[in-house]
Amino acid sequence: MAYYARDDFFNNPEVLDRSVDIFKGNLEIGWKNLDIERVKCRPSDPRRGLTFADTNVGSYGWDQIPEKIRHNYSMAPRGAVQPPGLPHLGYDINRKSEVWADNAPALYEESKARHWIPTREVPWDAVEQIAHSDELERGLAQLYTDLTCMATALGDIPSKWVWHINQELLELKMFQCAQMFDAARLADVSRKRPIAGGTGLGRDHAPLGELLKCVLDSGNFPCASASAHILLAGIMQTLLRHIGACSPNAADQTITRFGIQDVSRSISYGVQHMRYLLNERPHEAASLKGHVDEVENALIGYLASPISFSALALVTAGSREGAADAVPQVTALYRKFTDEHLKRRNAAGIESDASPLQAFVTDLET
Amino acid sequence: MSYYGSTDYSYNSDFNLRVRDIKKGNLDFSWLDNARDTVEIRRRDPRRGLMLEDVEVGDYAVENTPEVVRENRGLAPRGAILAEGSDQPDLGPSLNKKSDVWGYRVQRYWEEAMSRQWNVTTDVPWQDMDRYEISDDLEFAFCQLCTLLSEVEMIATDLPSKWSHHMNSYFQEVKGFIATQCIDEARHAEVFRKRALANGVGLLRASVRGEHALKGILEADSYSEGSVFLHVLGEGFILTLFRSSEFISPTPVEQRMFQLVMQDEARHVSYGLQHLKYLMDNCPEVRPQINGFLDEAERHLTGLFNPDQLESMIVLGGKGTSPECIKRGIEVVGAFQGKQIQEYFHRAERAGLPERKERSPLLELQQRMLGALQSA
Repeated sequence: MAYYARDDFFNNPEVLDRSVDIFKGNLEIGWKNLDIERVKCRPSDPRRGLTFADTNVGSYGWDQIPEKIRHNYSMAPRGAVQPPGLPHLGYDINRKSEVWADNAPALYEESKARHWIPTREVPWDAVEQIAHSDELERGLAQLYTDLTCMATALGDIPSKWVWHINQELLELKMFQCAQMFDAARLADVSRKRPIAGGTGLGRDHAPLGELLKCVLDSGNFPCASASAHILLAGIMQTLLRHIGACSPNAADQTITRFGIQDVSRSISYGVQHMRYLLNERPHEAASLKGHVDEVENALIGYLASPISFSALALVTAGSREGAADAVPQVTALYRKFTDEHLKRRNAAGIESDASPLQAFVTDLET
Repeated sequence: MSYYGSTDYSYNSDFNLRVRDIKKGNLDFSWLDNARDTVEIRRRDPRRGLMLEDVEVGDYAVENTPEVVRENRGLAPRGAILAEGSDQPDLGPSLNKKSDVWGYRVQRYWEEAMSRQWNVTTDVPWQDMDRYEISDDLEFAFCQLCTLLSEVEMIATDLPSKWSHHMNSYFQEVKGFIATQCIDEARHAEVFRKRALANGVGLLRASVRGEHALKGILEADSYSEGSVFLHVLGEGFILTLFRSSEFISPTPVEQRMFQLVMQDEARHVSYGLQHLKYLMDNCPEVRPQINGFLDEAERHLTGLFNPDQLESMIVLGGKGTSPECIKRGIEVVGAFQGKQIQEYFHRAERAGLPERKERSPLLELQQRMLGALQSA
């Protein structure tokens, strides 16, 4: 046991006496006379139900969360009366801009509304009757193996940080729970798919591990958010789109369609988070730009790695024989991703003058 | 402070040569030449889709995973071909023993959680609230109960998430289950918060004693200790509380809320039991440590019996604040409290810790209360 409360309630006669008194019928009902803000939040659009936006009112809403949270370090829900003596639960992310994005509550609502179930909604019959070549299947299996690792990292980021975040930022914490859930589902389906396809999982490889370590070991949450939500989720979105475009199998169409919508939510949060942060603390842009440049360096190690490039070329061509001729198409895919990624960096306020990714793809094109 | 990869590709001649090779179409397919044998799986029940248990074959099966995972230090899924030795970046997982995290039937809990997701926004009949009249006394009492529940539910996201990213990726099912628990508990905090704000009152008073118990959970020394406190003891108590709260709910809207949260909570308690059972079966030497931890954890939990919660439940149970109502409410809540403790002992016994009943301070507390009440 690491924590021993100052007061041993078990041996505190006051605790027992009060409970006995209550059971004798002597209720104080002090909770009925508290000075609180009374509200009646109902669905603004009954078809949509009671959304978080409907409860964003007064002291209960997120609009009134201060930039620096000094008044609550416990798990008391935002807006509740805090009696004296609430303990400090160790939260060390207490600045709103460090984690907040104005679209987080809506993204949380969207995540719940767009839940899908890989076990039942993927047409696994189609995987049992694969019509394409064994080589193509192995190429797809390799990409799914990479996606499994990436999805695990995308879930580990919120897992690593959410319990550090002050409880006042409740909707944001809930969105991070949704991210963990989305990522776990993507890891699950990305692992099942190659096993069900018969070739089994492909290889783990060092350049991918280096990339994921760069993302996971980001020194603070804003750096982790920029690298995971803008860069890592961005490349996952590209890989999913490409699998969906190249694979003739119906199961892959379903997996990639659902997978894209899930990772897109993380991208959307990442961009808005950066904007919110830099609006409050513009001086942090320099360190964020430097960090994302560094993770881009690890990303190009992955994009040019023998396994990932040749697997993409194989999947693009549909066969090993045609893979060499597919190099320009893979390069075009990288160009498309790079342009999207740089636009996102720009929109987020963390644009780069010396993007390693831009330099790499330009080199590949010439 | 961040990790910098071993290679700066902007200034690396090997990398430049590789890019030149790529441009020439010289691709390396050695990974394809050395691919592993094919694998055959069979869906046990095609109507259910492709379950995790269906892909538990050969190297992919958890039963073929050793108790201590040494070879995987990255994020590779179980069954992938690993990068060789020193080539593999170390991502530093610290929970690498199966018995540290595993629970019997965890694959089934994952599948169940996936198929039983629900949505607070649309699955609670908020539009029906205007159909029912609730007295001010009951509304305040229910909001006080919602405040406590909204307060305690988020601990069940913070504790598992604190440990999940430390788990070896070979235990993907446990990491996955934990992710489902996090979203379940977020939903629980959401439903009680929304309900408190929906009917003219709001959130009421937080619980000092309850928060000390939450801190005890969050600061457990190991995942297993945290799990036994959270899943078996804490969520077990809350599950009984949910069941009683459904019984004393003022309208069918609140009853529906409790029906929905109960199925999630029961799954979390079941995982906790199965993890504890797995731990006791495979690592019996930790029994004294777990018992010592529970001795203190149960003392912490007595803090959850706080006056605001007791009073609000008595008012809800008796349907008002008149002396007759209070009397009826005390009978309801007294029975429920005894049940909470008995059900906990029963669960502990099923998980392989029958000695809890003998050494637990909870029983003593209950007896002290009963004694005091009788003498009064």
